[in-house]
Parts: sequence; structure tokens; C-alpha cells
Amino acid sequence: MPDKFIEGLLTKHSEVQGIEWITDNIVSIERKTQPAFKAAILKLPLVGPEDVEPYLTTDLSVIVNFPKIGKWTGSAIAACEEAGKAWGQWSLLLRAINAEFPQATVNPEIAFSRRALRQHNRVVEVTFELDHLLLVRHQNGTTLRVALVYEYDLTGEDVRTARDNLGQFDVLLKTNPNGSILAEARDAATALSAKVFQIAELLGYLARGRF
Amino acid sequence: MNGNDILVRAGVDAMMIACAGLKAELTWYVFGSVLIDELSPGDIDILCVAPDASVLGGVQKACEEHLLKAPIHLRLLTSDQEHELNFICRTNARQYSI
Repeated sequence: MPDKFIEGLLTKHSEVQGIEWITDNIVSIERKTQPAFKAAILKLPLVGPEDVEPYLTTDLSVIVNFPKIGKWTGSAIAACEEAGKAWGQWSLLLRAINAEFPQATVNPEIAFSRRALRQHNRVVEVTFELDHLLLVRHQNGTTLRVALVYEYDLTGEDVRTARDNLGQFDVLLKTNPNGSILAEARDAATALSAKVFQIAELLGYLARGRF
Repeated sequence: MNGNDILVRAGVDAMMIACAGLKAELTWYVFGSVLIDELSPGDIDILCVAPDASVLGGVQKACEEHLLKAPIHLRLLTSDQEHELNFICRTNARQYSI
């Protein structure tokens, strides 16, 4: 049975004319000023390739995972991108509704960090372990595990929660450009043998390549 | 469906009830897009302020099941952190109770 809460959120979107459920988790979204498109809405703690595979050869444009703390595996992300489907969290679907090409919608937080790292002249490759955990392969042969955390002010608890949610990482990248990194966050990272950076600091760290 | 309905249907009340068993003086707030009359928020931003850091892990654990059901962004701060960051004032957070 389609989720009435999700239905309510979608129909209140200012650009949505109406919706039609194709199945319990595939919805066709009719828009006021753009053509309709279809989306799959998952509700999973972890989205793997087997979860997206049924949708990859269909005409839907977007696959999202409803819970904010739900994660995506790198292989599920790669499968979506190869098939030309937008992927992400709930907010990505709302962004897609406003987009001319919903299938090209990206999470700006992840896309910015990914591109900045990929374009670094000492970085060979950037891949996803999870949606908020990047594997950054450096020229010197080291692969850094870079956790992405979007908070205005980063606390020690944020660092520890990231460790619980994402597993071990070498660097925590604070992706919100505003706000601050509290001293306790750096202490917590040190206790985990990790570093906390904003993007400019991380790019400098990669340029030095001493790790 | 208004802002309060969204909070209830997202399971925020249930999450708060789950934390009541921790016997800690938690104060809950709503901030972000739900407050600015946006009926289709990208995230449901919730702040929980705890008296000290010792209960934050317990709050996170008690909320986990509920966080898996909706796009809730749960911000956990101690009272000291909240004062230091002036978080409530800066985000115009509104206290929320059941």
C-alpha cells in the first residue's frame, strides 16, 4: 500500500500537479511547468545494488531512499549512475521535481566534494564506499577514506556518530562551508586516528601528500 | 497536513516517547524548513538538548528505529554546546513538546 505520509509530502510540493502510484513504491509525478517523471522511493537502512537493479532498465528517472540516515553502497550508486538514474535521499526527489532533467539531479553537498577531490592534480581516482564515505586514491599510492558530514557546527559527538555510521575513516570533511569545527571535534578525531578538515584544508593536505 | 502533522507522522513524537525512558532532562526543538511553513520539507530538522554528554549516546540509540522511517535530521547537543553555539537563537528553533 502506498505511503500516505509520502503522498502528502509530494502533493504539497508547489510544483506538483498530482501524483499516481504505479506500484507501492513507484510514483509518477505530474508537474505544473515541466513534463511528468517517475521515481522509486525506497525505505531501507542500506541501499545495495540488488535494491536498485529492478529499476535500472525501466523508464523511471530518480531513485531515492526516504530515511535521512539510510545509506547507499558504492556499488548501488555506480549502478544508478551507469544507468542514468539520479540517486539520493528524500531531498533529492524534491530537488528533482524542480529540475528540467530530473534524471540529472545531484545532491550538491556530495557533488561539490566529489568534484573538488576528483579534480585535484594529485588525486588519481575518487569512488564511493558509501554515499557519505569517499575513497580517494592519491598519486603516492595511498587511498584515503574521506567521510562527509554536513553540519553547521561540528562537535565531538558528530565525529563519533560518523565513526559509528560510516566505519573507519582517515579524514572527516565538514561539507557545510559555514559554521565552525569545535576543538572537541578535532580531539575526538585524533582519538580515532583521523583528521577533521574543511575542503580547502583537505585539498592542501592532499597537495602535501604526507600521510 | 500542516507542520505539526508532519512532525507527528514522521514519528517525532514516538521518538521523544522512546527517549523518555532514559530519565534525562531532554529538551526538544524544531528548526529549519518545517518551521517556515514549507509543507514539503526536504528534511525534518530536530534538535535535542541534553544536560550533559553522557546521555547523547543513549538518545541516539533510542531514536535510531524512528530515524529509519522518515527524513529526520536529528541534531544532538549538550546544554553547554548549545550555549556556546547559540544554536537555538541562531536557527530560530522552536521548542516542541508532546
